[in-house]
Amino acid sequence: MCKELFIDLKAYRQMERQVKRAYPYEACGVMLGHENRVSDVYILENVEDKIIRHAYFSADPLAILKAEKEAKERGLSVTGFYHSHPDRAAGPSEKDREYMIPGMQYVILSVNENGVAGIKGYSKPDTEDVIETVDIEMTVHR
Amino acid sequence: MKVYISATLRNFFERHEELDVTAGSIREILNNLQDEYPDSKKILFDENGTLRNFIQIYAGEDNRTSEDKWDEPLSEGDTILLIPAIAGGAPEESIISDSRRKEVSFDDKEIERFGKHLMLREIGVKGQKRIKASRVVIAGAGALGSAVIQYLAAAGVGTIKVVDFDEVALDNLQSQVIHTTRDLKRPKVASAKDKVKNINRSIVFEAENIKLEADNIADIIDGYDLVIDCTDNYKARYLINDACVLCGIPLVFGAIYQFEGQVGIFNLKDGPCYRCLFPAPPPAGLVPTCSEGGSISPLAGIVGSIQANEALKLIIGIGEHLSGKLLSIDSLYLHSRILNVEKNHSCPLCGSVPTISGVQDFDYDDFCGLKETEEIVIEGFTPEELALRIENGDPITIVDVREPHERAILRFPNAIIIPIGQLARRQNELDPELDTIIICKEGKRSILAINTLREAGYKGPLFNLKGGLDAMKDIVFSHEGAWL
Repeated sequence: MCKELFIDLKAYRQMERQVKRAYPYEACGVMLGHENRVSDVYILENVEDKIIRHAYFSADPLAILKAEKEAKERGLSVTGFYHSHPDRAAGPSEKDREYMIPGMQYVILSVNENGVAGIKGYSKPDTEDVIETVDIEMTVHR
Repeated sequence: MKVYISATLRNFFERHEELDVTAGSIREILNNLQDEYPDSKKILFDENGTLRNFIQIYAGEDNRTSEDKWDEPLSEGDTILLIPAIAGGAPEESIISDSRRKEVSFDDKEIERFGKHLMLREIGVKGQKRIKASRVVIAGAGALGSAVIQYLAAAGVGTIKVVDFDEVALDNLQSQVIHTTRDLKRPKVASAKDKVKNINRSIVFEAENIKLEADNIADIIDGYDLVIDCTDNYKARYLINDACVLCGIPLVFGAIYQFEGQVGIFNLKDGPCYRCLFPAPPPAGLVPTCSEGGSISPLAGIVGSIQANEALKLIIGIGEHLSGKLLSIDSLYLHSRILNVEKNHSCPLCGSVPTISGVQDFDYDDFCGLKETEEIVIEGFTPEELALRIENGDPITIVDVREPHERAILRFPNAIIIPIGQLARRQNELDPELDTIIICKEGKRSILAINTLREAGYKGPLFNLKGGLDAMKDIVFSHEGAWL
């Protein structure tokens, strides 16, 4: 089980731009790459009701399917998902934990009006309700 | 049937992307998949046999995730999709821990009673359990306390402690709606208890018929989740704030005066405390409290209801709240605004170098100006002594420094009326040869008035009516009609 997640800086910048633009609402997307290396992101739309979108997110499952098919064409796979917590810490909520698919990587970005305030990685090794934290490292590829 | 397995779930299907399953319905497909790939059982279903939240089932573009669609016949050309749902939410920031929430259960009656809460997505069963698990102290069973106690009891707070030393008086009934005429002269905590028990007998109600003091407050609030300040005086406010900071308990503050109210949350995590906003109280007597200044009946209901609402949000961990903010409401002109309250890093209590380390080692009477200073001895008459002087027909001057509305309630005959602000320049209206007695409602503003006159250079003898006109109420003059 990999306890480390490497995110390409360009992919991270994309995530950062998206969650800042979505603030004060939550934003979400798919991380693409190989195993524990994220080289690209696929932005998903937060389709929650607008009145609760500041604290909840969900995405259309068919959009996720589209993301994974496009990734396959480019020789990439889905490594996990990311989303933002506007004005809240980057810890997983109870609902976040319930929706974690075992083996996938999850990244949560804490965002406030000044930008990203924190980023943390998590994964669920198996179907037990146990969450492991994952160290995140930024990588630069020229 | 062709079944497409999302890449995110493929590990549990031996990495197959597409499977051919002989089946006529979703239910049959799910059964066959579990037989063929035993690993998939635990990814598809939880320990109760319920489909996991993150699994979505489509037939073509038609969402068939809901179990009532599992037996619908499938058309031959459809591909069945097993794809993930992703969803989540920001963490709830409740002051009640998950472990305490999980210890709580509900019976059928409670499910019915709290149905209107349970149907709210933000509250639901989890939020209602947090409410039931919570233990809240309400300081003061007066006007604000009336609203706070009743709403928190109705909302289902499990343990309610009410602290109040006072008894129900007739003039309380104009705004303290938890008490009734039948409760006159009973301890306020007793009628509050009756009301709470009538709302919900299963609430644990703890009555403290005691005055909050520096040496008892820590014992009274320690171990509770939240304190709600419904008191009407500065001494109690600072006492409660300081004890909450030292015990690490968040505080929902509320105050009313005439037509205006304030609500704020202090000492929540790293938020500011009451002293960050008001480091010291105003000079004693300068600002009349609600009991002297009056207030319109429903104002306490408005402000107290907001306090109760803030308390519930903190308990459930939802919404935005007034930590680091002060809500100010004007009920006469219907203005409201929210002021930001910054944490003061030089706060003597919660700043980086605190100078107050205990409730005991701080003299509240002195701090709030309630202690008469030793250098200036203020002589006073007891109500009996004043009554005797009046009865004897002694030549004395009586100065009434009360507000016009207070005089309208109880006129004091043969008194000169001089507001405190005009005392210094109107001192020549007083005869320095005669004893001058200053009167007010509670005998505190009169002390301020005497100090003001002395500072302005008045040399004649000045006396304070001890305890004010409140203490004079029970005095009966022999020729009543001529006097009061």
